[in-house]
Amino acid sequence: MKITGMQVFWLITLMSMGMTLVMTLTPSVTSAKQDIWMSVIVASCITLLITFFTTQTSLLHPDQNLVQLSRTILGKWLGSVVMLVYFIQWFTILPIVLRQFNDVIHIMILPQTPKWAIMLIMLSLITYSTYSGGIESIARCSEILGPIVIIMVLLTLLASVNNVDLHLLLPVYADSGLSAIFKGSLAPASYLGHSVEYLMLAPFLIKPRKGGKYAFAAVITASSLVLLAMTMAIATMGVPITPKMWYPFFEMSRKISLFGFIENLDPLPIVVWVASVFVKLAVYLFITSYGTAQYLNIKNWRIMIWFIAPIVLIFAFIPQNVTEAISNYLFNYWIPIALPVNMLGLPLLLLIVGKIRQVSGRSAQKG
Amino acid sequence: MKRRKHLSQRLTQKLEGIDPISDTPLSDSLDRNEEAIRQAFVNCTDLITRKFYIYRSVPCLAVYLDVLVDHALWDDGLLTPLMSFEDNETDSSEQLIERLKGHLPSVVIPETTRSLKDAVQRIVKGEVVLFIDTSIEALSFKIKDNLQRQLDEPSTEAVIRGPRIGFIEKLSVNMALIRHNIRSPKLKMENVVLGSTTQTETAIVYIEGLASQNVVDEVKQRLAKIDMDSVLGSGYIEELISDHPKSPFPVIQSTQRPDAVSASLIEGKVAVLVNGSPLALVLPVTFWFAFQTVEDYYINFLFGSMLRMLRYFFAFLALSLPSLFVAITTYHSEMIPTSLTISLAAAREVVPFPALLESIIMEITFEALREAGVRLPRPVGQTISIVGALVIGQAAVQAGIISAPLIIVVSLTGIASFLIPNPNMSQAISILRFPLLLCAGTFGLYGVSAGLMAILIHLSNLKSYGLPYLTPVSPLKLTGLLDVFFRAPWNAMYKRQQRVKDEMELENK
Amino acid sequence: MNLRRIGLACTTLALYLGLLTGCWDRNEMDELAFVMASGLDLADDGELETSLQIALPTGIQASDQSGGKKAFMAVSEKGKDGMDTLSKEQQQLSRNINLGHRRVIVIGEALGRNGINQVMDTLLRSPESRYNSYIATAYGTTAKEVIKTPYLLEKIPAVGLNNIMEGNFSISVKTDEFLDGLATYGKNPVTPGIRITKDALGNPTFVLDKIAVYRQNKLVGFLSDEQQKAFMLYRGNTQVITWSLQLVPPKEEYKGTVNIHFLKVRTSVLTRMAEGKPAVDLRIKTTCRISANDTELDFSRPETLALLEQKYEDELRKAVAGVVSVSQQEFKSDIFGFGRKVHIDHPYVWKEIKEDWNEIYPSVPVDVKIEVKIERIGRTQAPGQLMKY
Repeated sequence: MKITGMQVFWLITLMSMGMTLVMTLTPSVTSAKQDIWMSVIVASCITLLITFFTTQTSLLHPDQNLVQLSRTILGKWLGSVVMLVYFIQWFTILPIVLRQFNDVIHIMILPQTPKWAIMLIMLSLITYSTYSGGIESIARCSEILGPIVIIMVLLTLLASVNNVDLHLLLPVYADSGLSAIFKGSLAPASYLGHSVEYLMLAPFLIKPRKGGKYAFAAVITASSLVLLAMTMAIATMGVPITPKMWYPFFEMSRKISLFGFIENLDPLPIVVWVASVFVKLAVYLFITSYGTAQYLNIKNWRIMIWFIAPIVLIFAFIPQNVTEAISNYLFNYWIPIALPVNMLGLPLLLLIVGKIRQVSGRSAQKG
Repeated sequence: MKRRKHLSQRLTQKLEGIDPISDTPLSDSLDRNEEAIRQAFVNCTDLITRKFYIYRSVPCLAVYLDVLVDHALWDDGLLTPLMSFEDNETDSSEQLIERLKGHLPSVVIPETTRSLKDAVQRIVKGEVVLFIDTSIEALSFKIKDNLQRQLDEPSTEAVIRGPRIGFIEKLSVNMALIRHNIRSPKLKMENVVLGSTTQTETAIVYIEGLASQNVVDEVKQRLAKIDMDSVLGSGYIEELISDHPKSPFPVIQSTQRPDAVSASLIEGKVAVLVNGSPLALVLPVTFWFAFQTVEDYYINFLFGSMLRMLRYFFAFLALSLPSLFVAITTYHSEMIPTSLTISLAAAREVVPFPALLESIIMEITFEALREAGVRLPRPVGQTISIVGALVIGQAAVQAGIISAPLIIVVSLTGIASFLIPNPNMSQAISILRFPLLLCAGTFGLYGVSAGLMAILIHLSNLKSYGLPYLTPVSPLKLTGLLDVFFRAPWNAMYKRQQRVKDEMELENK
Repeated sequence: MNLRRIGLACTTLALYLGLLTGCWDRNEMDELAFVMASGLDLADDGELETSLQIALPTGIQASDQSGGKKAFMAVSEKGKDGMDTLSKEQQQLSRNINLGHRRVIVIGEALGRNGINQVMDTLLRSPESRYNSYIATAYGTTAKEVIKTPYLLEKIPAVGLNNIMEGNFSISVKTDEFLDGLATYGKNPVTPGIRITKDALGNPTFVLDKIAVYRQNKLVGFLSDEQQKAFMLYRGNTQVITWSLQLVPPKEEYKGTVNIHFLKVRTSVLTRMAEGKPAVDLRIKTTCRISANDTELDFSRPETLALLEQKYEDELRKAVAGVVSVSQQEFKSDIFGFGRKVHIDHPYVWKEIKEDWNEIYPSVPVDVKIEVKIERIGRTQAPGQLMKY
């Protein structure tokens, strides 16, 4: 299984962009109001920092993925503990994303279809992709889907230009303030921070050392699109209404009217957005199965899929309603734990310890 | 891989013992040889054995199949010179054979054989085998009748500005056609004989230095593995040497056009020609080849590019238009403009079937009509289309069984499927239309997008001789893109020749 | 290997067949009742009454030949809230109610005056509801009457209403703008007002020549005539507005009036703080075309044109100032969105006053200045009457 740099670019872009657009607008607007664009910029900076840590860390041992890397750097025992932290993240994000995805489809286009049917379709897609071709298959799909998703997002934005009222972005700064902007940036940052998964993808690259720039490009692309889309959503919907919606980005597309004739096109962006969720889920399913197999020393990682997929489906039924799926997980685990620990802290720890080891190793060699 | 071997093994088992001639050497007695040959050809009324004398003294026996031999050449070019062969030296039969080889005034080059089995096989191929008394060698002359049809414009893959010539059923002619296009000693043609009974000659054609050696070796290997009793056309082996015989998508191109094969060879692909089949196999190919025609390269590049985009667009419609129609009308009716909604609803008012069932019925009817039109003789075929158009189209709508908008959708889908130049791809898309329709009927647009995504995953898993099926779009290769979605002008594509090889090398790194 | 594969295939097939029998959200088009317009009223007993105008597909088809058949039907029910009445209406109908194509939502006057909070929740919550529907308020009648009224020009009256508003023949307010007006401090919503009349042949029809003014969530009154025109001028909604002016006293042959058409309108609202209180400068720049001239004057002469511009500036200023003062004194409702502008210009002051804006608004000084530029004087230079030489 080998992937190209371009494929990593699309993988990270799609993983970061799709869910961020749809899921983080509401929590972010609630605190940052019309200054959401500043929040997104702050979030992008945080994400760039995360990307910097991860790419630097992967450069220490370009041929090793996170499971091997943490063991090499921190030693067998501590490395395994660190990996447990990541496994918590991976095993919870899969069902949650699946559930959130289900809620979008449920609320926006298929209100009467049962949950299990919607999720089962998605789950079988990601299982098929992961089982049949592993990361290579996912990467190739994402290379085709990526441009389509981005074109669709851009078209949605372009068609909404008529509805944009830039006055809705005023007054700048006065209504929010520094802490509100920062608080508003946490949700997008935690969703954009999927570049941390680069640590699992890097060893599959044809040239692992040159992957960093693609990761950065992906983060920048995703952030700028999210910035553009969120700003436009606010400028279209207005601050008072937006926080009341579950999915303001799609609500924005509901307002599109072309020639007063073509209206209500919101199912189109939604089904294209499905592609982005597919990539995210498939990548997570892959790294979870692959990582778990490696962690438990199982040779054939594909076997793990058959255990993980049903678990994911069952877990996805746990949240009672939309609020639990979006808010509780976001505010109780994802922002306070996953963002500082999994995305910032541990990569930084690995980087520092790895560097020290490298330097001391070198001096030991010299001496 | 395992299963393929299994299959051919089964075939061999079934047909074992069909070839009882043992590999015995020829005898030096004419009579005994004649007896052996006659035994091999029992009940073959077209076998001719003719005894005559060289030098008026050396008895010899010519054996051939009457129906396969060019009589004029045999009479004038061989029999007469042989019978009037004057040579006063009387020596052994070995020397005689040598002199015959050197002095016969004929374009036919004689070959020698010593085994009975070989002799029989040569006779079967249409050669004349000459047994000479007291010699354990026999001479054989290739004077087979060129049983072939006229070189002709291929009935499929018609072009307006391109060459009119197409492959025919004879391997040597087909090889000549390619040689005419590419006059280079680097153009290699290696022969393989396939089929234990049919003894079909097959040629692997490639250009040395341009084609990837890996692919050539792989083709040879896979051909060598084929253990079939009969190979009567390229379709037989296409499935056996394909990477994914179970996929609906073609991973090997078959074409009837020498110019298309030559262009592919220059791109670094490998062609397999099979005697008896006017279709050459070209490999490795990508998904996008099915939407390209040779015509694209003969016409103005702008128009060529426009045609390509049109094909992609309509290929998408051919795949998904009925399912989009079902999904939107039954799940997302708010997407349709209001005035259209009401007229669509009005059209459906009297129809008894749900939209999904209605479309499936109509799609099946359409496929049936198409198949009927293809197989029937041409005049009857037209009747079928009239019946189809009038009876199904008009009467069904007027009777209120099918709604008029659906007829429009189905016919548009039909037209769209005819826009795909490659018939195999067109078939693949026709097959996949049905599961997609079911997805649309169950989950609306979500189902359609899930279905399309499943197809995409399948496509991205396909490989044709190591070349990922979606190259150069995924994995992305910018220079390759010039010839995918549009046809770039020639001066931008000068490096195109290297394309496949480059891509192969990238893959094998 | 093979067994497992067969098992897998069977499971997939079974699952898929299971899914197929679902088709949970499937609705054939001939099983849907397309609601084109809905009306909301306050019934006499205080309950909510909703009315639906439903398009009849068969009617549309049949009317091509016979012409006599109705193309729409209307149903109406009373109930506790929107969903309650909707379910009662569903019981009357053989087809599923589909709100996806609703073009217009009409609010009855009585309901408007009583407050519309409850209704808005229904509008927002339902996944079917769209922001593309126009909102209108019935003037002097109930929404039910409006829904029932046929409109001869279009087969379905809702399409007629929709086209009037879409063509900017009246002001047009879509659901999202209306909701935004309700939810924003410093801005109050307006809607067009519908009046039912009879056409010259005595057939019932409707006109949208009023503007309903809301204060918070309550209807407080209507703008009409000059006020309505002035408000439309402020919104730049001048497609169909012309403005007549008595330029010179009437004579025997000439009535002395001039009429102009607005070509371009640019409105700017400036706010400043005067003695700790917000004050508003309203500036409207407009470019016009003379569309009628019933005087002796020749407007190709610059000084005449200047006089005309001057006169119009005065006239329009009076009209706009008039509608501003009506909104301040009579309705106490900031339909111009001045508060929003204060918010942008003076965000910190706004934080203190935004809750009380509705109380402050009537006392805010508004200075109106209009600039009229007449750009084209029509195809003739001279007055239209035949001049004898």
